[in-house]
Formats: sequence, structure tokens, C-alpha cells
Amino acid sequence: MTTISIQDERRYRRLLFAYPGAYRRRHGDEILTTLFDLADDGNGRLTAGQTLHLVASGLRQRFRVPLRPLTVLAALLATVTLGGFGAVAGNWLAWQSADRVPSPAETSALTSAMAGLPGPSIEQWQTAMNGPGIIATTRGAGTYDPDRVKTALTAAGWHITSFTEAINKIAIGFGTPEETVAPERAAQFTATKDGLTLQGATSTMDGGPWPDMDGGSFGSLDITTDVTGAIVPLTIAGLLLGALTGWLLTAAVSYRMRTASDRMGTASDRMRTVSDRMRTAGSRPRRTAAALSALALTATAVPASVAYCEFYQVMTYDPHASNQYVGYGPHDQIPAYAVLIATALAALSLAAAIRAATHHPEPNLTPISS
Amino acid sequence: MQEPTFLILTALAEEPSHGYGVIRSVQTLSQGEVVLRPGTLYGALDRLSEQGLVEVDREETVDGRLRRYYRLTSDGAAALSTQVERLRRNAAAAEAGLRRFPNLGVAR
Repeated sequence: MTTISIQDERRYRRLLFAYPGAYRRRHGDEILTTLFDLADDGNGRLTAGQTLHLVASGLRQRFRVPLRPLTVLAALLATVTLGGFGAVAGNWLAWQSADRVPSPAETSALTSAMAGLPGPSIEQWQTAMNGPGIIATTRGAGTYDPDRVKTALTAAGWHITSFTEAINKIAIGFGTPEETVAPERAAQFTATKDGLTLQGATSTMDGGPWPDMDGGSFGSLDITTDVTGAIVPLTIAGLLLGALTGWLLTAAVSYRMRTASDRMGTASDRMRTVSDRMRTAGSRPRRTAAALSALALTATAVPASVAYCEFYQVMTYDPHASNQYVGYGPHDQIPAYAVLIATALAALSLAAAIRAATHHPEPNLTPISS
Repeated sequence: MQEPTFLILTALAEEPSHGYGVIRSVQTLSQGEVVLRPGTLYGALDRLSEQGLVEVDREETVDGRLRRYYRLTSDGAAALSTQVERLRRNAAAAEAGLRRFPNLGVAR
């Protein structure tokens, strides 16, 4: 019995960290005794096989949920829900490391310089993959000058990848006796800079039936961050990590619920006289916890469905498609406040469920017989 | 019911025992065929106490080492007895079938 060295004891204790905390606190010491006994039995040490198997069993214990239909259902729902949240979080994280689109002030200055017009209106938006984008549009009386466009873009550090000029025929007063056609000079262009892509257009009316029509100009820029190689992998990693967390969390909570009611059971065994009271006290928090958990999981259905719509759009997004912007899904119909309220409700009821399940008033164990 | 579980319940049916005691009993009962590793034993004890088939009998501390003794519950005894019946029935059926092979010398 004395053949176990301090080092071995430390080593065995470290092995037990493979087990979940609540389980370790409850069973750690007795497992350690059994390990010492086995080591005494052998040559004073555990075999490599025994050690590995213990660690594997400890990790397996973390995944174990009671085989009750409701608990398994809760574990599956938590896995699916947190998987969705994880995907959204992973997607968000991936975009944080991508390049930023220029600020509204920078975009405004570039658009003015390019189009030769003042004060564009700015709108920030997100691609269907949640990548950042910014649009600037401006109108006014100006001139058509492709060199001005090129100079402005180059000065701002953009590398022009395409530049197409055209003379368009614009129908004016369509369907009226004064119907006529006026020419418009236009250019469409694309450019890149670091991890950003720019699509732009500018046009100016050349003449026209009315005096104020000549020189009427339009300019627009749409800048988006390119999809990086990290977006899809990090979104999937987030999904898997979230799903894993969901299962492990349910396993941990259900173990605590179980041992909390076991403690009540043991107490009532010791105290026959109060056993009935103990049992009712033990089952009531359990029912409360189950009801609160059900409420939490129902409420998470709203944000979870939005999360999975987002996930779907990220996975099906085609960065090379001509229209990479819009991806309508059912989640566009769910207002943001509903998602927020449902998430808050889910978080509160889950916290209350865990509290109800694990915080029992300690019974007053004054033995009557002694 | 798997064989290790069956043997653990059988060991505890004889008398309440602690972890190492169960490992030794199972080894003896199975004539050395089943050697439980601690990970398997405590996994099984956790599952069995969750199902209410075993429970903690008592705790002892010897030389600063905690020994927790487990015992079979009446539910556990019932489950074991059902399994014994099943095994006996299957064994009898197998035995009856094997009579066609008299050379095997099945122990009667």
C-alpha cells in the first residue's frame, strides 16, 4: 500500500482531469483508491493501456447523458441550437480578420472625385455572406471625363481591372408626342485594392431636348470585401464547436440534476422520518427545471432558425456570381426585435432551469435516533 | 445486458463491494476471462446507479484512501434475475441443439 510515490499520485490525479468536474468531485477519490490498488497489484504502476483507457473513459463520461427520452431530446436540441449560434459566431469572427471597406468619409471623397459631383449619399450593407459593403451614389450637373475617374481611383490606391465606355441612347418622354432619344456617355468599371473589390459607374447626358438636361450626371461606387479563404472553414468550425458545446453542456447539466436529486434521495434514506418531504422537495425543482428547459429550447427556435438560414446562405454563396448581393430567406421576415426577445427569454429561462436543478436547499440533517 | 454489467451485478449480489473488490470478483467469477479496467467499471457503476440497479452502501477511509462500497438494489436483483433466466433459457436451447454432436461431450 505504500509503494505509490507522491509523483505517481500526482500523475493519477492529473489523469482524472479527463473526467467532468462534477463527476470528479463525486467519484475522484474512490477511483484514485482503485487505481492505487491496481498499481499495488501490478508492479507499482498502471500500465500504459490502463492509463489511456482511463483518459478515454473520462472523456466519454463528459458526453454521457441519461438515457431518458426528454434528456436526449434536450441534448439534441441544444446541440442543434448552439451549432447554429456557433456558425454565426464563427462567420462573424472570420469577417473580423478580413479587410475593412473604406469609411463613409473616404468613400464619399472618392465618389465625388471620380464623378466630379458633390456629396454622394452613402449606404452601408452586408452581402448575403455577411461581408461588409458600402454604396455611394450621387447626381448633379457635371461633365463626362473618363480620365478623371481613372485618376481618382489610382490616386486612392485602386488597381483598375476593367473599364468599358459606351454611348447610350436614352428615351425621353416615352409614349408622349414629344418622345425623343438623347445620347448619354457612360463608363462602367471595376477595380481592386488589397482584399476589396469596387464596382462603379458614371454617366453624363450629352445634349437633350431641354436645356437643363445636358450635363446631367450620375456616379456610383459599390465596394465590398472579398470572400477570404477563412470564411467558410471558420463558419463550419463554429457550427461544430457550438454543437459540441451544446451536447457537453446538456450532459453536464443533466448530471448535476441527477446527482442533486440523488443527494436528496440519500438524505431521505438516512432520515426516514422526513423522507416523504424530501422526495417532494426533490421532484419539484426537477419538474420546474424541466419546464424551464422546455421553455428555453422553444424560445431558442426563433434565433436558431435565423442562424441556420444565415448558415445556409454562407454555404451557398457564390463569390463569382454576377449578383453576389441579395439572398432572401425566411429569416428576412423575422423582425430583429423578435429574435432579441426570444434570445433573452431563452437565456433567462435556461439560467433559471440550471439554478432550479442544481441549487437545492440543504436538508437539515439532525439525526433523531441519536 | 452486456457481460461486464452482468458480472458486476453478480459480484455485488454476493456482497457490497468497493471498486477494486468488484474488479477482483469479476475476474474470479469469469475465471480470468473478464478483467475490468477502472474506466469501464466506473462508467458501468455510473450507468447502473442512474438506472437504480446499484447504490452506495457505505464509505470507509483506510490509510487516507476513500473506499466507496456499492450494493445491489432490489431493482438490480430483479434485473439480474431476469437476465439469469434468459441466459439459462438460451443455454438450455443451445445444449439441446448440441445433443446432435455427441462427440463434443457437453457437460451435463
